[in-house]
Amino acid sequence: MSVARLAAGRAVVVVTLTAAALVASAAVALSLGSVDVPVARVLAVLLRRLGAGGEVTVLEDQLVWQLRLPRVMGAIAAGAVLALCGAVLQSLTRNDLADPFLLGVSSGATVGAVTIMVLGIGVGGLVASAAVSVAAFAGALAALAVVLVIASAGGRGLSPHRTVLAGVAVAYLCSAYTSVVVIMHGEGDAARRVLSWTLGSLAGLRWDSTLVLLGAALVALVWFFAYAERLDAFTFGEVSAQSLGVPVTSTRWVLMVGTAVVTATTVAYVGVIGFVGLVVPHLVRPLVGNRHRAVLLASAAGGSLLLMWADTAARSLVDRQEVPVGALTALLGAPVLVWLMARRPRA
Amino acid sequence: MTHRDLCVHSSTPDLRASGIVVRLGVDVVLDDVDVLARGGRVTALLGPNGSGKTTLLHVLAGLRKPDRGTVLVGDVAIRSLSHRRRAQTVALVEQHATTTTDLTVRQVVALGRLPHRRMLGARGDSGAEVVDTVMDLVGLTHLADRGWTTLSGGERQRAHLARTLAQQPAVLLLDEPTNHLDLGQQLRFLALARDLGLTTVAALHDLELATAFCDDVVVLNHGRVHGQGPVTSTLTASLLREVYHVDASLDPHPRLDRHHLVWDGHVEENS
Repeated sequence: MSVARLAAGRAVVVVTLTAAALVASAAVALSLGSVDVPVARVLAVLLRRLGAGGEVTVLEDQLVWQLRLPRVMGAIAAGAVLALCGAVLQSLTRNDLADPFLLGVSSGATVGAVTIMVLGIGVGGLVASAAVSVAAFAGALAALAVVLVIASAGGRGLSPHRTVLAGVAVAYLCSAYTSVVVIMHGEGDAARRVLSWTLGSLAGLRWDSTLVLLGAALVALVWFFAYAERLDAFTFGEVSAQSLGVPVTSTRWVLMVGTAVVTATTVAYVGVIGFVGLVVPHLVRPLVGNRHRAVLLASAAGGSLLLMWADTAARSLVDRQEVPVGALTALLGAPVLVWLMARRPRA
Repeated sequence: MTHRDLCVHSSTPDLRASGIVVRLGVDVVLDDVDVLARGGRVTALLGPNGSGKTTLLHVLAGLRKPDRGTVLVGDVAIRSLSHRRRAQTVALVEQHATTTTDLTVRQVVALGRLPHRRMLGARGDSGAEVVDTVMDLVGLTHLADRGWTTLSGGERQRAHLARTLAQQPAVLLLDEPTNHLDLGQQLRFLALARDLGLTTVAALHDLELATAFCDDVVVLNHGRVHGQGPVTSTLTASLLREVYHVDASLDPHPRLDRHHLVWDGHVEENS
């Protein structure tokens, strides 16, 4: 019992430390940017907004509360969603390369976004950025629906193998559409805008969109956590899960659709940010063990921390310009992934 | 807690399958199969590769809905049970189930408690005592905190057995549990399974092991039952010739109080 307790204890310590690091470094992230605001002033703004009184300048309030905080909170939420979905899908499909975009969500969202950005088709009088979000969300769900229909055709449940293949097929189809539209109809900097959307950006986040992202993160955390023990049962594959009393087909449907919907919500606001969902679960498993309660909590905390810092770097590394956040997560994630795979034991 | 206290079922029920038909596309995998595994006895499920043993075990476990036919545990239809209840009644050791996920032995065994837990699992008995007892029973206590990937084949099979015992089932199904094990591990595993006293069905390839450890046999060939009953009276020379295309027989052992397999080395061509 002692070592198992120890492992559980270690998971608690890791999650707590990561969460603490997140809160503490959020204050630092808020102070960084085109104009540095000292951490003490950041805290003063937050305290005043929370009703504790105190004096702050309009500029400080504007920078910290109106511009940076929604962005930092949005990064925390989006990072948690992506890492949670990656962890769930990797276990569900028993595929180390599974990430939140497995089910065609990112390519479908890109189709929607490109349709608005390049063809300029409006959505019922919405402003451009909102129209892109709505179209991206709709595109993601449409792609998901196509993938699920293909994967479940023939009525043999939702086999991971067929689902992955269907996801790949739909992704290629979507990317064909995207390329054709950009090449044939793109004017001026269309290609550049599309590329930068597919690398993701949190620059557009304001409080309204951030609250939606926080809601999605909370739903994902509670929902998937409730399924943690069932995910444990998939360790030895689906027959074994079934023999342990897990309703395999319904569990797969619920979790695949669930991850796709929260991912689509995230993508609609921040674009396609890769590597967080792929790498973070692999990163936390050696630290907290393989039981899903620990893996899910640690992934959420780790994904938040990674994306918050990647985005802070994205907006403060280069003066007056945003570095694509997806490029930064890949830059961090790829070497870490290679290193982790190299030191993994073999079955 | 001793291993007797593990028994939550009031009796050891018979496992009875009748009229089982399973089709896969145009192929008939199981064709009107009737099987009776008597309560508390060990029944060997024999047959050549592709004869339908694994499919039949999945049907018996209630994991696969047959196109026709029913499976009864005692007098309860397995498909009428909820997923959880079914997993508390019948447990299956799959053929060669492995993983790259490095769970500890204790965590693997604890998976067997899942059917006894609620979805969020915070309330009630975690079953830690049951987990300890079954690990002790299969002799894995000293490896409780070892990672799965460091275990030998025999240790992995014993961990799977302990996991199924943690489910506290009335019926135990084993799908070629001795594959990839050395002789000593094979004998120890089957002795362990036999001594549990559960209603057990084990798919086996090795007729010698079936003879030594099982009470009854069911012989499948091309998806049909070719014979069933007590081992020595069922595995006749003519059955072995028809099913396996070899000249072999079960003869009384010169020294031991049991039969053993004797064959003459002649093998039919093109079998």
